[in-house]
Amino acid sequence: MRNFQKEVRTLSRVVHKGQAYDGNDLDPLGRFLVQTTLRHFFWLDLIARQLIKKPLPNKHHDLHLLLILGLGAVEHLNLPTHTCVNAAVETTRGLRKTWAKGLINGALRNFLRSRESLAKNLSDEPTARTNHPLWMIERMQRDWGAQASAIFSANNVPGPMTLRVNRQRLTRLDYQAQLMQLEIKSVPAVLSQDGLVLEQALDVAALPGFEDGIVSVQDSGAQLAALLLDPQPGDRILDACSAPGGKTGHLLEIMPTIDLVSADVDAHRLQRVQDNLARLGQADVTQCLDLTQRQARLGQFDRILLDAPCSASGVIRRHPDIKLLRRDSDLPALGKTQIALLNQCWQMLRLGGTLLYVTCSVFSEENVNIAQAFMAQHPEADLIPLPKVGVPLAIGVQLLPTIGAHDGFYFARFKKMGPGI
Amino acid sequence: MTPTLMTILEFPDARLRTKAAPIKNVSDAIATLADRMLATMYEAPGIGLAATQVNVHQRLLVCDVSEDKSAPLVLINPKIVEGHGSTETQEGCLSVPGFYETVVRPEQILVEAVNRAGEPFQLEADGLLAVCIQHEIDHLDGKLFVDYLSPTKRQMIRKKLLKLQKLNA
Repeated sequence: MRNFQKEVRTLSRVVHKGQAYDGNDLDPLGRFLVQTTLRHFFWLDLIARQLIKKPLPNKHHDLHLLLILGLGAVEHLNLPTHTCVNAAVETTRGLRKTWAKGLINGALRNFLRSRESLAKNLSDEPTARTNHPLWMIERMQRDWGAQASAIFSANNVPGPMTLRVNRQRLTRLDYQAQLMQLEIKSVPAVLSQDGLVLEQALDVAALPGFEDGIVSVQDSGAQLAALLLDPQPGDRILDACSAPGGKTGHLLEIMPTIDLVSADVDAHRLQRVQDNLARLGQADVTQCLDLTQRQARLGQFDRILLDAPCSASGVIRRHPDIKLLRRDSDLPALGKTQIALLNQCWQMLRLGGTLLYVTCSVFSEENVNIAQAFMAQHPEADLIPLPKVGVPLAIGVQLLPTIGAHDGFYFARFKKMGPGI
Repeated sequence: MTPTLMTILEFPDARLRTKAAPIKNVSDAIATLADRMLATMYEAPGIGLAATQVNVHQRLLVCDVSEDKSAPLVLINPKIVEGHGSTETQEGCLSVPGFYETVVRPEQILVEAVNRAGEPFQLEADGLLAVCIQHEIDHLDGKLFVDYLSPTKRQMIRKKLLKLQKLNA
């Protein structure tokens, strides 16, 4: 009989140990359950707290997570209710807490009986209503006012699976036709001429030519980054924080004659860039570098793509664990890194060169505020206008996560000016 | 009194191709012109300006490569008598705004010129000052830094600037 033991362990690593979600030891159903539970965690947690009158002591936090998973299963799995309840109850055996069988069973049945009133009790609870932590709610409302609720909604719906068709190999319309023959439906992405949005997510193994580098999986907003950098023939280009390598691969597909350095500070994550380059049939142009420090031997670049580390608040729908892992207090340190990276990249940019600053955040503090601080420090930085996409800001543009379309991204494009002679 | 600022011609304006005539007499008018050119250069902001760029076709250039506008130089009838070595610089130009390209020139130069008091002098220059003086003397000869680039690149810059000028007209 199915149980949720592995799922409890996976969820516990996120909730109690603060580690990023890793569903490697789960089956597809388990991954779906944990991701969905993370997506709706705040609501489920507050429901669970109503169901267990006396709070469980700390040593039984696994039972609390089990109940949350059980609730998530009942709410979101396309399985008969009793199957979900039985799996949750069965899990107590694996946790060696069979004494809690009745507790879990009773709580879940209680939920099924009184779902409506339990949910109603939470209707004034902002964290339950939005399934976001309070600090994020306040920040989103401060930054986006009336648009905040649309952001919450978009964050709670899984993002579509979007492909990037390798334009060196075939057009996206040709690939779309190939997919059509396999009865895989897709529509051209609005933001990227290389993008196809799949109607339904599927395993990459089912995509013709994936292993041969004909297509990659990349959100259409993320595809905009390499397009906005506008690589020209023979340009020397730096992808400053390149892992997992989507933008690096796209740059090489757009302009194969560029001289690219694909750098990341994290050797482990850089391996994924190398894997992606190998799959695309490209040479390994990666370098493991901390670009918050001066890297004199790298020399000068014509163009630099800086997709800086950030809260990732624009990609919550793909990584719902962010809602539990991130803290408001993370932002100042991230801001320091963002400014340090901008300053070091700027030094490596030739006069007249282009720097594209990108984050997958929707928070002003990491986006327009950083761009503003950077421009105040560098009078020789000139803004290059961006095409009309997303929300135009004083500096740069913001894409807000949009159901059925792109993730949330910020873009600002600078040109390095020098003294006139 | 602050000197009146002058308009800087922009590539591909044909007047930038005029070869400037030597200055025979360093008059007060020349000194005033030098002051107006310095003010125009600082305002731009720039580190060098040739008379050709402000549509005066006489052999006069001004420059100041200091950070704090503390080293203005006026060179009348400048002439390079010696050049040594070679250096690559990303050059821009007030007459080609927004474009920077690599140009190779002698690294050290010896220049002869006349100052605003009408006295001849010699100047040894290297680094940015040497680049700047050579760039400005080119202007007096009707030459621009884009002339050192490939025809394709020059054509691309020309097209982009024409488009911008049309937009701003």
